[in-house]
Amino acid sequence: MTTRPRLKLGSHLLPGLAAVALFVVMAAAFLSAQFPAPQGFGSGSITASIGYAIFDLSGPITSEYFLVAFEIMGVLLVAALVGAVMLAREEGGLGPLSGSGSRDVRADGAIETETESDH
Amino acid sequence: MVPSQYYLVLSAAVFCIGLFGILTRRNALVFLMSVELMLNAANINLVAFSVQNGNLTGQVFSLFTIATAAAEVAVGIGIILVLYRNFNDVDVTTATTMRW
Amino acid sequence: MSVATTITTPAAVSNQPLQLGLGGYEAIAPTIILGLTALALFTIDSIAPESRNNTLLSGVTVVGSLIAVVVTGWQLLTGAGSVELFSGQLVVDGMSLFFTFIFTSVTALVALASHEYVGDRAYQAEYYVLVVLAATGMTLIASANSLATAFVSLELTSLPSYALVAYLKDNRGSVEAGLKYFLIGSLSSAVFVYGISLVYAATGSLLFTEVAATLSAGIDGSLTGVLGIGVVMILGGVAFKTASIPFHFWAPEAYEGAPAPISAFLSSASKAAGFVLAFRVFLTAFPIDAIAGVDWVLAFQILALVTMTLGNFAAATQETVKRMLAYSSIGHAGYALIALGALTGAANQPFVLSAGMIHLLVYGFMNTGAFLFVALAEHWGIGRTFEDYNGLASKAPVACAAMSIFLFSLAGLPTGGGFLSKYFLLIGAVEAQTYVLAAGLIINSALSLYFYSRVVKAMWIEEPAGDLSIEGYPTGLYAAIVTAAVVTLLLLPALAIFSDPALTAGSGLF
Repeated sequence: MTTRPRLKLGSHLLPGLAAVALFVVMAAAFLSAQFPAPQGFGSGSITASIGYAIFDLSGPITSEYFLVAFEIMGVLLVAALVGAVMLAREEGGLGPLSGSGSRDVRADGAIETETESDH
Repeated sequence: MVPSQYYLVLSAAVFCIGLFGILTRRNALVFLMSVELMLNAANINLVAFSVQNGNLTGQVFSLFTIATAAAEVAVGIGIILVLYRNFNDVDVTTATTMRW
Repeated sequence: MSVATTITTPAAVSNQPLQLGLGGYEAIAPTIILGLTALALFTIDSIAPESRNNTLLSGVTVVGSLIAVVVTGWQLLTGAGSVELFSGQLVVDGMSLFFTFIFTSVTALVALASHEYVGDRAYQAEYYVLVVLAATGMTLIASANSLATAFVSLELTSLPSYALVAYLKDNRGSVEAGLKYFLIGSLSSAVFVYGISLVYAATGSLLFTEVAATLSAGIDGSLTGVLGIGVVMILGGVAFKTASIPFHFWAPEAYEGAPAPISAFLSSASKAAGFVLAFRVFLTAFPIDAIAGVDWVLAFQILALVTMTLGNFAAATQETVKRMLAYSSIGHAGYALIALGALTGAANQPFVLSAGMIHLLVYGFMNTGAFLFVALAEHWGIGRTFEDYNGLASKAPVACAAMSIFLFSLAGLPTGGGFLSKYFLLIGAVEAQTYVLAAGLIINSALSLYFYSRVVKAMWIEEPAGDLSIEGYPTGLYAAIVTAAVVTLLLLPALAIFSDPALTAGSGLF
């Protein structure tokens, strides 16, 4: 049986007032800003220009160049992969399919692992 | 065309909702979701002002922030996994073995 | 000190002669060397993933970092001027080389010390790879010339650090430290990137020089609020990375719970990375005379005073050595913030900036050495409190002598370069007429002598409590500690080698 989620009100919401106050301050500052008319883009493919910009080439629409950031992102994704796998890996040497869901509990309470059964 | 300051107010609202989630929720995964909200608030800003300023810098940089957020979540979930295995709970307030 | 005569303006895109050979890539050779070291470590691990070639991995990392140190030092001493690479995304000048020297030398020391510390654990290759990749990110922060490059390389530094702090997966303290560091770190990078988006909204560009040009030409008065909030948020992101009040909450837990070589790495190199980010963003992108109405100098003055005071007063009340060192590193961040807070109109601005840079160099060595001594104590299984260190000098006199050098140099006594760097900061603060900062520096240094000498007293004067036994003298840790001690000692007479490049680098930014 499930119950619908209830909104938990209480004193633990008090620190959230800081976030509300910050929003009031930011909205006041932002609504008073006057921007000129948006320049928009000229004619030309935006997607193609994004691709050119990432590789330090100039495309139809002007942009700054981002080749260095692109290369660093490649290294960053490798670093994140190494870090995440190092943290998440389980020791025990039973292999990747040996999580807690792959064991069967027999009638007498003993736990049967995959290697012992004769599937 | 909506004037650009309303995009600023929208992104400020999303940012503050994320900040509210960080300040009030105790679940580590909800904390991560709130950080994602704050990062996406910056993306709203970047794309809106890319049109305002007429260059593509904002849009390209928003692609980079999206990728960075994904990498950060990967490492974050790894850390939350290790937290769960040690403390059997994803509550950020249970892990207080080190005092002042 | 006389101001160096070779001054280059960063706005000039023309390249000064830096012996550009291979199409400009020579300038970022240290970064490429560190990247190749990481690649070599990956290769070693993929050839033999199950065996534990601890000495090989540690050796490759140390050799790679040492090559990067030598290349950086050679470029620092022989090169001149600045060069912009990749149409303005990277800049290599004296400041980037100076800080790259700090990062690569700290990486070498930490890799040398980690040889025994992670010697009997799993995931050794991952450890060294993450350390080297974090160092690569730091060198890129030092060379960043665009908010986009700065943000992405900041993330490249932070993500491996999150994983490294939680490296001891079965140790509750390490896991808790990693969690707190990650949560506050991701929050601060979200705030940082929101600030970047607001600056882009107000100025239309992400390159530091273009932002400065747009601000000098004057932006619309109604956009000052947008810009101001953006600058404050960028300041918040930087204050997290340098562990300044009020975003210092992660630092004591992270430094205490992390493996001690990683605490050394974080508190020395990562903090210096935050400072070079602050120097680059605030001096190049938001020059003081261009940005009217957002007085970040005042903000840094308040930040410096509060940080150094709170850090030192909190360190005086601690009971464990590692946590005391953590709070003392927060205090030292406050001293280095004087470099940004004393940039008033009356100041000799290049001198103030170079004083901060020199302090970060000396502090890198002293602080790394102190944390590596704690790593040695952890390796021996000695406890964590001051009383557990009683009588250690009778068993390990060399290591305790080195630790005494580090602690007294951190306090500002003339046993090492720490004395001269604090002296320069003091002169800079007094010349800039920020007398409050100068008074804070003196008072806090005097207070810090108290808690540093507690450790020295425990090691040398107190009697050992019962059975203090040490098994073995690990070579890697000892080599790293002795090297750091020798460098700290030598930096007192030989600081002139580094102060001249620092002054040249500092004047290049104004």
